[in-house]
Amino acid sequence: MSISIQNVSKRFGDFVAVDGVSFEVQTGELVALLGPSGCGKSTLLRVIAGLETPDTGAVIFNGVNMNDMSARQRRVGFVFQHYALFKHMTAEQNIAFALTVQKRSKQEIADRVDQIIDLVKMRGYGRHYPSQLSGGQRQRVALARALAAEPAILLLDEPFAALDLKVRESLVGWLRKMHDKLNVTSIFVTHDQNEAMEISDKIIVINKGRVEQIGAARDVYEEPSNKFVASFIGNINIIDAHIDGEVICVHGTEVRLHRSADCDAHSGEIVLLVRPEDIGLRPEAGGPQAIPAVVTGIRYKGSVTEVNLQLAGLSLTALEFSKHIWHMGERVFIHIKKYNVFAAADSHQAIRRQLEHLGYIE
Amino acid sequence: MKRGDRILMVLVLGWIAVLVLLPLSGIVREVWTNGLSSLVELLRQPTALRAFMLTFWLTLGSVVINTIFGTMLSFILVRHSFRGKVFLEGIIDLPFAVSPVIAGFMFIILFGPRGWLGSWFDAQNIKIIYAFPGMLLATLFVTFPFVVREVVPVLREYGIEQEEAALVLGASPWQTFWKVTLPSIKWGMIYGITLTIARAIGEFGAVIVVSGGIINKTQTATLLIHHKFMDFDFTGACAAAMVLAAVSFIILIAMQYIFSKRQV
Amino acid sequence: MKENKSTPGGLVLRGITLSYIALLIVLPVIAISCKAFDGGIARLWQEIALPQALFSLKITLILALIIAIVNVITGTATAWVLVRCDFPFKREINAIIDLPFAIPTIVTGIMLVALYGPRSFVGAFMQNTFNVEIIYNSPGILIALLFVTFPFVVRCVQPVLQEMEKEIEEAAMTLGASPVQIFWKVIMPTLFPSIVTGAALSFSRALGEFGSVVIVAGNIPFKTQVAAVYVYGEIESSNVPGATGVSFILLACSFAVLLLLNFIQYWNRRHEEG
Repeated sequence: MSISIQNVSKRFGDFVAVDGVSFEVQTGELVALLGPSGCGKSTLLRVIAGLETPDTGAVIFNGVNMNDMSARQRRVGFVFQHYALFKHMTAEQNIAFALTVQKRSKQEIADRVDQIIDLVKMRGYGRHYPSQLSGGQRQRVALARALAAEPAILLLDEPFAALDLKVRESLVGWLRKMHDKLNVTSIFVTHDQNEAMEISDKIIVINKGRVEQIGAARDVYEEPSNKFVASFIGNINIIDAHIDGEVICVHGTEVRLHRSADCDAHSGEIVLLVRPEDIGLRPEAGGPQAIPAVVTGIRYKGSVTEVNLQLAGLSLTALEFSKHIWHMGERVFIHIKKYNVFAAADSHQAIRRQLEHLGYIE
Repeated sequence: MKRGDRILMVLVLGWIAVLVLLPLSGIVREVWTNGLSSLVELLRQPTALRAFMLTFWLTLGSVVINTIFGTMLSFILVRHSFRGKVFLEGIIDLPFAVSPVIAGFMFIILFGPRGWLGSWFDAQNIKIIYAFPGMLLATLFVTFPFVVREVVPVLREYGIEQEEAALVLGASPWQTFWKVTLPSIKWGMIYGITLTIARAIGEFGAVIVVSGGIINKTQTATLLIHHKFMDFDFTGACAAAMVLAAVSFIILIAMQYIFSKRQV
Repeated sequence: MKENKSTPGGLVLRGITLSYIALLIVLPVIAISCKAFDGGIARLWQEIALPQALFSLKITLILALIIAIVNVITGTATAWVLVRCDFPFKREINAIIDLPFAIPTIVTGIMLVALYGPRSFVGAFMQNTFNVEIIYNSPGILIALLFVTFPFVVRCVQPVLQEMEKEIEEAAMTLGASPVQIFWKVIMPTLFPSIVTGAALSFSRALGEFGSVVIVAGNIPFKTQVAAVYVYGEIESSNVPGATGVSFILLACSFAVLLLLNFIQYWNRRHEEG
């Protein structure tokens, strides 16, 4: 079942929750709706489910407009953030619910529940009440309940937000495996970019009710289309600079650019965005073009070390594998392997694609 | 709103109107027709005034005693653990299960001249039943649960950390109670007191049994109303009822206001 | 977190409080129960088996049962409307629900006589047209009992209904349940314990109601004499065995209801924990 969202908007009083959102989801895809709290992603999910009616636009399943169909008629599986399990029913009864209201035969229901319980690995917990289950177990029951009636679409609203870190980590991977087995079109909402990047086929980045970027995890991470996406996903260094033809001026130092075929000429204020792992550190100058900097902070994180640097009035953070030990106040030389450039005035627009192996100061 | 809900709403509001609002209007109409004259007439009678005063003293006594013991009881229910605590929680609700007449009767049996405790008091020539002490005991019985039931959940929710913080900062247990605990259970307590007052003022069955209804001595406001009704002085009964109804109304408004404070 | 029970202050507190309860609550109940068996079980049975006593018990139990059932329906409906619907003066009407709790029972009786008595408009109308006496008859008692027990079910159900997460109903919707199915399979089971609690409280209160009934129903044996009024009559005529006998039965019924209530709350807590 494919999903097509076309120019959907939803407002609550004066507050615009969703503003003209459009995207496509192919059959069998696992898509993440990623964005900060309050950006409208949960509202959007509820519109898709039929729990809210959009003010404008259409929700289309397999080419059929769903606008007039209620949540009950859409046959969508929905997993709520706080599970919304029926407290007075056992896990089995919860899972069987969709089939029970469809008045299927007892045998059919029993078989299907049995099947699903094995699928979500809750064998032996069927007779337990939600109050007797852990958070992770409740989440699996909620998922099983949504899947029992074999929906063509599965929607999950921040399914892992209420769980402990370790439980979350294991369930995230498990969700991907589950999806691959069942191959049901799924959309899940999250504010955690790691979850989104780890398991989704495609990420839709949302901010203030609008779509910022749609793409696979690698595309969204390495080629952010605007400043918001770049800074929301992963860590980033933001450097204000000035460009004039081929020359970038950062706080008085100059950098010469190599113009690539698809560059546009631009003059004026710009913003450079550099990922910490794209800043290379060397203990001594590798040549006359190395940029000197001073180490102002060190955070050892096991396999990687975060190094805070100060140069020419700028504060930067670099990320290096912990092969070398850095010291506070040490003088080092940096080179920038890769950065994205955005027009400062309208940081929604990238004016150049990433530029590689640049930036020795001349 | 769905149509089913709307129909239900009309039915429910109709039910409330007939069941609750209509009787209210009955007494308002009575006031209107007889006007303030009957009320003034009533308040001129010394027996009536004494009846209201007696109700006042019984209410005051019940409030003070049951608030103190009720709060103490809340503490040991929430903060202590001991055998039989579950049993204790059941006992608290006991007065709700006892008909007022039986409540009064119990004290007659216990404190009557040949009762287990009564014989001792009789020997000392202290009158319990058919006198104020007996009526106070009966009123204490029926109003017992209110403060406890309101303070316990508030105390439970409030938790012990703040008290521990106070102790660590150097406060004595007494200081902790006054400065930290009491302010936080204040509204729950006040709500319980309001319910106690309402019940004490309105108590009838228990006091009529225990008091003997001796005019000017053991006749409360409610007994006064009953007496006038039985004497076919319906106007007088209504006037007295009006006074109590007005007080109840004020209590009702106070209840709503305090309840909203309690929800914080 | 519980305090160390062996602190002297704690023990004193416990001692004083438990003594108060023992003297005020437990002792009187024990006293009357013992008194009921003063002349042995045979004597107790003799008093209860008197036709007048039996009738009063019978009519009391039947009325209390009717009241409980009616209140379940009206109380749940009222709670539903208060939580789910919007209408003008909602706050005021919500406050009015507590009126029966705040008003003295005898004032209730007077109000009802003023409204439905033979001299009143309604009373006279009913008498002349349907030949139905409201006051001094069963309808009067029913109205009085309905009035004083009305808030119980409402106030028990209301908070539970309020607390119910919207998501539970939405989940049932997405799983394909119709509104009727949602009501019976999801909402009612959640409300059930609170409804039963309210019904039990209504029943218990109706069982022992005195102040309003004695005014509204008079004291006509074999017609409007409920158990509490019968007991009062026996006390007035100094018939202690008669009074204690019926009192004991009433107490036993109320305690049974109380036990049921505590059991429900315990069972409910077991499910909600976690």
